[in-house]
Amino acid sequence: MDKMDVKAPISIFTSNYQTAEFMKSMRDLASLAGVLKELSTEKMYDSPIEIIRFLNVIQLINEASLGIKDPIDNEEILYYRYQSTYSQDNEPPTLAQITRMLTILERNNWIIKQSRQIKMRDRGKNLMDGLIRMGNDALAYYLQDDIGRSLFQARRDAEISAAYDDQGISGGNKIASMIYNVEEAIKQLEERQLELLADRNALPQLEKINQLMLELETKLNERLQQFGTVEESTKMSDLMRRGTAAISKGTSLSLSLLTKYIRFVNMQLTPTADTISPEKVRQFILAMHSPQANSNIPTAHDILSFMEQNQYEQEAMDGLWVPVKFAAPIGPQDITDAIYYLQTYEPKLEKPMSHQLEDEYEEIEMDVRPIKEALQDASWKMTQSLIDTERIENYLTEHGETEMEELIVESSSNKWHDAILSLLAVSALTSNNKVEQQPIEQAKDYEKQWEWIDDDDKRFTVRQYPYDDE
Amino acid sequence: MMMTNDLPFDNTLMMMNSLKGYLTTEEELAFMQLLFSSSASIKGANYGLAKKDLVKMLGINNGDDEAFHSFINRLNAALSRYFRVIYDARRDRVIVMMHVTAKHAKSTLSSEALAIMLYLFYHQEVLGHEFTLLHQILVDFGHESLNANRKLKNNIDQLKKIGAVTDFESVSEEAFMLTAIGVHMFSESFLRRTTEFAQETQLSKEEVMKFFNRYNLHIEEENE
Repeated sequence: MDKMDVKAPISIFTSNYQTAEFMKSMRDLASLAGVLKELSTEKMYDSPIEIIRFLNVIQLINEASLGIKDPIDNEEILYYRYQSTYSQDNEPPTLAQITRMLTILERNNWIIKQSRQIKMRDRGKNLMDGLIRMGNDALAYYLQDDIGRSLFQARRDAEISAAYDDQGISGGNKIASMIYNVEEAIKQLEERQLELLADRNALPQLEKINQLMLELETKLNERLQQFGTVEESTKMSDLMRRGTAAISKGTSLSLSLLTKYIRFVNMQLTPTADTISPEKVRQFILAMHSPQANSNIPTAHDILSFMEQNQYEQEAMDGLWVPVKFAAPIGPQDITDAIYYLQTYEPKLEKPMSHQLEDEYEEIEMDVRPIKEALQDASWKMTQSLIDTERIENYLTEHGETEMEELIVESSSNKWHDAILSLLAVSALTSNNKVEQQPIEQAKDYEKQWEWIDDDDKRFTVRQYPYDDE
Repeated sequence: MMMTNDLPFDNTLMMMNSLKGYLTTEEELAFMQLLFSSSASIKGANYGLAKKDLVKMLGINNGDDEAFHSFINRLNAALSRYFRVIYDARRDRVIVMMHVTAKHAKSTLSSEALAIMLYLFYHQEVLGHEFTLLHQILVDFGHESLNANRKLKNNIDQLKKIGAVTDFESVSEEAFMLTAIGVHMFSESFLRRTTEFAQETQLSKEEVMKFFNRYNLHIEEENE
């Protein structure tokens, strides 16, 4: 294997964009797109036959330039050659259509129209080959049934990988694609295995699936081995592990399906026995609980699927007996009553809804002082609401320490009732530690409409707390 | 007794209408009640009707077993393709079971649950054991799979839920026994195919039924 030490395969994804070769290859694809654009009109999509007519025309030019057929001089020759070659086409393109096709091809540099000959250019030939391969691959793909399709595609992946990667040209992520397709096929097969067992005519299909699976196993292992030596990256070894696991699961699944089916078919060819071995029955019941992946032992569901084939009379309807499970029957009258009830429903609101909220207690730890302050504050607020202390406080704020009699008379008036209110306010302020009284020797006299019972009572000054002068 | 099998299959549930010819009005009502109460979604695990309620509905004496079994036999004769009325002597209840096609049977129970059910069926109906120990099921089915114990119990729970299996209380270990539902659950065709697979040869239905002691059951029913 001397290809081993060759550098990574040629790939447009890892190539240098600035090279002329890269530019040319991209331009090739642009040219392909230009031609395909003409093919992608709505008419083409609605009647895909038009596509093959177009390809037929290119094929004729191609064959002529390869020397398989005579050279094509002009449009008319092409027109008649089309009719003689594709005689099964009931609606061959008209001369005008052929002329238009040639114009498209010439504009995109697929062909050269010379005076005496229409010639295929290299670009046209390469792209044409690619298109034909694509179409044939698609046809082969769709010819498979839906389980076979993924298997077929996986095998194609392996073949393409061999044709490209081994020659130093990247075929794309073919190994990953192959493994993906194998996994898809297995998923399909798992979902549909019961269906296949229930089908009397599934044997050829099961055989084919198994055949494909076995071929694939060989191919995939070959491929994986080859790649294993080339690229030792972890990404690759993960992929290889996935691939090996998938294919071994796939082969044992398809093999087990096939052998189960064959066991069932063979069983019907045996003569009717008249003894039953209890030990065999016991062993079988134990085995059918969770049979090995590649065994030919059917599960209970498999057996029910085989019964669906209805080989014995009325076997298909005789599945199991289970307890009756009806939904409770609802009569039309019940429904009518229910609708009437809903339509005429009025909520009853005789009593107001009463619901007691449960008290919620919250545990909070805190200092005693703020509580005391809070309580004092609260009682002060209450006092304030009963006794008007504002005038006294304002006066003290303005004048600072004041004699008792002066405070009483000046803050309001020398009237008797004002004196009572003022005294109340002073006593409230005092008791709430808002003001403080200090005894003095002499006090001034004010003119007033009332007298102290004891003149000593006026020998005090009043000052606010906290003291303004401190 | 199996003359209903001769009717063309196309007639399907038309049979239900001809039931009137087999039953008196009281019996017809009792049957409808029976169908209704056998529904799992209505009665939970306690399927069916107690015999004494049914007897009351039918207006026959509690001791008159002949009239009671005549009722059940006539129902089964008429309906055997689609329904089967069974009397669970142990629980003293009457239950209606329904025929499910092979295709739809697959959605009723998992493969594993069916295998365990078959095992219990074989152990109790063929070998004649009264109950089966959980330990023994574990030993036989345990394999080396992860969480085998839990999976097994989940599957047995499935069986309990449809009333096919019940706990057997009289032993100290965990044990299970089939109910009347469990005894009747497997169709003859299923038992036949399973046994054929086990023997890898064709077998006659009679042979298989004999093996599973089903014939005794039939004879008993007919004699009752």
